[in-house]
Amino acid sequence: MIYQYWWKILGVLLFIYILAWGLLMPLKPGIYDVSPSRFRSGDSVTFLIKAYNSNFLNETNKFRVFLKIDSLHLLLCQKHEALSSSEMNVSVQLPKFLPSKLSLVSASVIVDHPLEGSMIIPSKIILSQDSISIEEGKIAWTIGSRLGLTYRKSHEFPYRNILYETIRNTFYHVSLWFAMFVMFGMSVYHSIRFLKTNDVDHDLKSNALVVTGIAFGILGCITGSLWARYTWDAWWTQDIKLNMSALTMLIYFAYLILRASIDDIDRKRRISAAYNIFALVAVIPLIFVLPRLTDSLHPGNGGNPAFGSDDMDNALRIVFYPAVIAFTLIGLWIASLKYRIEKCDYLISEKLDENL
Amino acid sequence: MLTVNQVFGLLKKDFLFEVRHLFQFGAILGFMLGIAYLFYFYSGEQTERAWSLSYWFSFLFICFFCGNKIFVNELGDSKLYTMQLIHPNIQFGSKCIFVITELALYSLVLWLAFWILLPMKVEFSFHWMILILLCVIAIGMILTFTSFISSNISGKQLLIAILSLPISFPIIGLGFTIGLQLMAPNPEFDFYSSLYPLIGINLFSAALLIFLVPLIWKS
Repeated sequence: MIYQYWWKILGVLLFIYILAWGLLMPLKPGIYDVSPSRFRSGDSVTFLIKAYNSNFLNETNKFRVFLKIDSLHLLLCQKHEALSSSEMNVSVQLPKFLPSKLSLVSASVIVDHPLEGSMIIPSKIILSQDSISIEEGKIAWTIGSRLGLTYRKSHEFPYRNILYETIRNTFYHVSLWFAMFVMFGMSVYHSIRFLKTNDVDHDLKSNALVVTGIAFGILGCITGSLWARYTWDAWWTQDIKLNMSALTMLIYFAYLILRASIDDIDRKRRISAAYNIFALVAVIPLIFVLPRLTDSLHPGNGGNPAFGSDDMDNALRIVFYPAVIAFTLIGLWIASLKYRIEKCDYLISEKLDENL
Repeated sequence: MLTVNQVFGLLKKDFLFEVRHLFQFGAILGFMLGIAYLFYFYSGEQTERAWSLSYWFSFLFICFFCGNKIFVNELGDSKLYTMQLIHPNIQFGSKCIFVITELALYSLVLWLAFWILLPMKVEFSFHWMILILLCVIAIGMILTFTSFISSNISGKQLLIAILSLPISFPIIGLGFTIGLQLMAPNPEFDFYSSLYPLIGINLFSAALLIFLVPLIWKS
């Protein structure tokens, strides 16, 4: 029995694993706010750093705080005081000049600790200067020694600004789409087989896979919309990938309408199989080509890399890849149930026809 | 040679049918002019964006009007008649050519109507012609295919719009975007490389139809 149903058991085990690991694993510490964030060069300034999942009370004196303009120009902040595990007051005397010919320059804040690791909030602080002296600015903003930031070696998900805890949705939202495409791909295989052999089994399998794929697509849209609400502050945006995904769903809804509107069963099977092939081929440019030609908020589109080191690290990968497998296997299981129900209906109707 | 003759014969049949039913052509022409006039009357000062959007949306509606009548004559008794005499692939191919020609004509007339009634700083150029032609070829093939499917389900012409709309959307979107660039080009705009997705869609559609049409016809 185990030999026969190993893939279902694997699917369930992986699903439990991704639910548990994906939802319970904490995030690495990260800075989410710095206030105030506008300073004039030459002033002595104090700002408050607010962080998430941090422990500023742990050996506070070992913390180092930097202001970073670019990879060459940094400034070590002289004083810092932990107010709580997540808040720290930092004081620094800003040099009179900035290493730039611009009067306004953005700077990132970096906090480093030998045990807690390093955290950064990019381009959060805006520095202004009244007069410009690039040479003096370069000297003042160059630290003598190597920065030597600490990488916290732990199995925690990366902290990303904007995403925060919603980074976990990668395992569910993206995996659902992957699984959906596997379903659609397999359904096209069965459609082609049906058109070639006229074997009803292939049509039933193809239809079951399409219906399951559509269900996964709807779930993908819902999880994506929820994610968009928390990260982009809107349930739906004009992002190209988002809208092309909606079109994909429309194309497959049309498949369902087409299938439902034909009364002649043989004709229904043949035409819907042909349309299913056409639909997948129409979807490929929508999802994989057009979004790459224009700007998009999604990774992997408009020139930004997908699943690169900026989006994913190994902590995410050990959940993401099993999630894709888990959703695919569960999808196949659901499709096989649907196929068996339809097969029963088909056999019953055949039997009835024979009796008549 | 026989194939070419049959294609020409079918094209001639469709053309004669159009000529003998000029009210259909007149209705679509009237619709196009009416739409252009409505935009002219109500839109006030035009922007390039609004112009391009109105044009492509009107074009989409015209496509659906044309799509509805592609296989009308082949339904019913004459379906059996044509099936016996002419190979379905040839029939489908000739329909494709006819629809593309018809849509190209309509789209150019529509462009002219828009150009007269909603004047913009836009010149009808070779680029516009290529763009319209590529969009027309892509949509023409899709419409013929969906109409071909609908003709197998007699009396359900509404399906043409349901099946074609989501597939035509990216083509209309590309037409709109590239058209907008032709009207107000930015320095980095390269017309010919912007056409690659459209050419790709055309090739994809053509390859797929060559594969799919004979399979559907078996039924």
